[in-house]
Amino acid sequence: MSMSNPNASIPVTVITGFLGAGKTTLLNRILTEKHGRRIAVIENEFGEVGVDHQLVIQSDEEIFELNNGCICCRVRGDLIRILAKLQQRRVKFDHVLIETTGMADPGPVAQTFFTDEEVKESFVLDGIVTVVDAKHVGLHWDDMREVREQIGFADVILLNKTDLVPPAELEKLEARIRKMNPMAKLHRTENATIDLDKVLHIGGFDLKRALELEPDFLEAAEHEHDHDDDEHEHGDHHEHEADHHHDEDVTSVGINTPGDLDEKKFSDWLGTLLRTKGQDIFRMKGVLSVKGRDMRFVFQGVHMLMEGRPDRPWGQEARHNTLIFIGRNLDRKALNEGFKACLA
Amino acid sequence: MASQLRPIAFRWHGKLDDFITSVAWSPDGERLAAGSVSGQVAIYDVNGGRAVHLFEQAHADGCDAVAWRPDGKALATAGRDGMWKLWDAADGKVLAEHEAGALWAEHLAWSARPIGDRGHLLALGAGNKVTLWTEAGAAAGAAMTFPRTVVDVAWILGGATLAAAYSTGVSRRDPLTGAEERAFPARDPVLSMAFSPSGKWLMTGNQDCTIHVWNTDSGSEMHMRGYAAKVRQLAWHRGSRWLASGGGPAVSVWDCSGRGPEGRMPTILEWHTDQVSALHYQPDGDWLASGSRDGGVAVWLPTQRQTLVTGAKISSGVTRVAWSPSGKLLAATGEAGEVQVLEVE
Repeated sequence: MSMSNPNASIPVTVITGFLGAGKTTLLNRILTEKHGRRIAVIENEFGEVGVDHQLVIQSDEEIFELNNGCICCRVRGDLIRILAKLQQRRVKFDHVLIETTGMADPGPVAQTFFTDEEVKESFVLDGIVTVVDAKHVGLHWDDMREVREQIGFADVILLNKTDLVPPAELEKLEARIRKMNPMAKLHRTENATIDLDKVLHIGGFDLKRALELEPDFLEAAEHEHDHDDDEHEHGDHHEHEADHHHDEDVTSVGINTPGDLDEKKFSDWLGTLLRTKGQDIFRMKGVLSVKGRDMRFVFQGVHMLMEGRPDRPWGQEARHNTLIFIGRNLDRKALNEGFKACLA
Repeated sequence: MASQLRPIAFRWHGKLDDFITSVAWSPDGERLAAGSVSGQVAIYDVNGGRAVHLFEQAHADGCDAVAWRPDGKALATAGRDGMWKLWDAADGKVLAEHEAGALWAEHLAWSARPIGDRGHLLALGAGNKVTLWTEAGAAAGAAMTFPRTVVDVAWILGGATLAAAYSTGVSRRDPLTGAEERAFPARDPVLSMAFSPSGKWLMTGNQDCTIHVWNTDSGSEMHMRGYAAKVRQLAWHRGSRWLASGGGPAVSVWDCSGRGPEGRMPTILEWHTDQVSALHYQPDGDWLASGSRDGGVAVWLPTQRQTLVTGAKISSGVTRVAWSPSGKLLAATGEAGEVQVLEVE
């Protein structure tokens, strides 16, 4: 199954973040930099991009459910309409930036690029960039589900306004973000100052780059794993003492296991998992070692939408399975056990 | 079968720089206006196809709509620079230009009849608003606001009542007061709207590859599924009996006589090899023109269940088809900027 069209030419970057985090600053920075790219910006109805000579269009966040009303079939009708008009040009845009409102759920935005046939013809989702206000995020993220979702969905996280926060506080913020999403590349920024190649053309949904993750991502996930084991012995006490906040609902589960998978068992397990827990899985990626196959199998997904294919031969590399799930209320133990039961 | 097709005469052609978004015949059929995403607007002389006017940058970032004032002496245009303009069709000068109130000004429609003592009014859809303008290009009344971005605007019921479609419904408005006369809430994301000339039927073409139907007399609704693609194209036969729809490579024509299309099978017209991208019924006749992304232009006589009358190709995907007021000439426009004027012999 293929979610995206490899020939689609125009990359799309989604910029999310809570109100005041610095989304518009980042947008304006991208637009004013002398990069020679022709960029179209789709900003939310409250946006205020102030750059001439770039195409800017405002949209209202029109979410609709494609068929049976399941969360995974929710897409953004406004984006579909606007993108259809943008692709009419013979000289296409080099890049499209979508700025969401602070309260936006990135799920329907992402799903639009994997389910709408016309959108898939011309556009490919390059990545989700989430701007986090280091100074104020602490006020929001326990109460605002959206803040945690936006972090969970991200390929790149800019921890912005670091100049307003003492280093020790930054370390804690970063640790908490890492727990929620160890897959994203995290950059500390002031005034959203960042090299464009760290936010554009990052291939966040590109299978070829499925596991070009931060080198320490599994370490972070594994660490989380150990920490979790710890909790089984000591209950919640340890976490509260360390971080003074509630248990995270958005979190990640990393699995790193040698051995070969039984193809049928794994396929059944993943199918059931997505059908029953897909609403809670924001992102997933992985490289799998399948019994009887010489090639690595790579996959990635958003909610219930999943794509995967053989990648390259294992060759001399030790065969192993590396995967990560990011989502809400993930059952770490069940995921680990379920996966291990698929080993041949 | 091919031997039975009527021959087509290519009368003349024009060329703009890019994808043609909009095309309109002047009321007397003597002029054809076309607008492109390149921002160009051209006015052609129907006799020979000379461009009487070519406005190179009518709208920066693209023109989305062209509409002749009912007297045929001026052309309204709107585009992605957020402006609408009124051009003198004789000397090409700008008679009026205004900001539309949104980043894109996408929809234009002149009332078919004078509205009260205000003359013909131009309805302009931009963002979630519709504004009205006089024949001289002055603002007429306050903006009407809708819950979502307006996707279609039309004058219905003989041309004196306004209707606007937005993603979550259709609203019928009194143009003098802006008051909502009737609301048609939709579950499905609406892309296009078509009231039958009689006013009895309202159809919306939807993003989820369906058509929704309201019988405005009885208030009953029905839903038509099974389309292969989004339904952007809807075209009514002048007699209000036949509704043609796109939504895939086939054209489906529904019989709306009596109780309407419920329980009936549409006539399926198959010739195109890619999505249908344009539909238009002759204003005064029974021929239906269709255009496709494969570049095909076809003419059908579906009212008598006859198959293809004729078919031809232009060089790129068809974006619009439009019969001249007399129904004698057919304009077909293309993704690469082609303007072709044909005649079925």
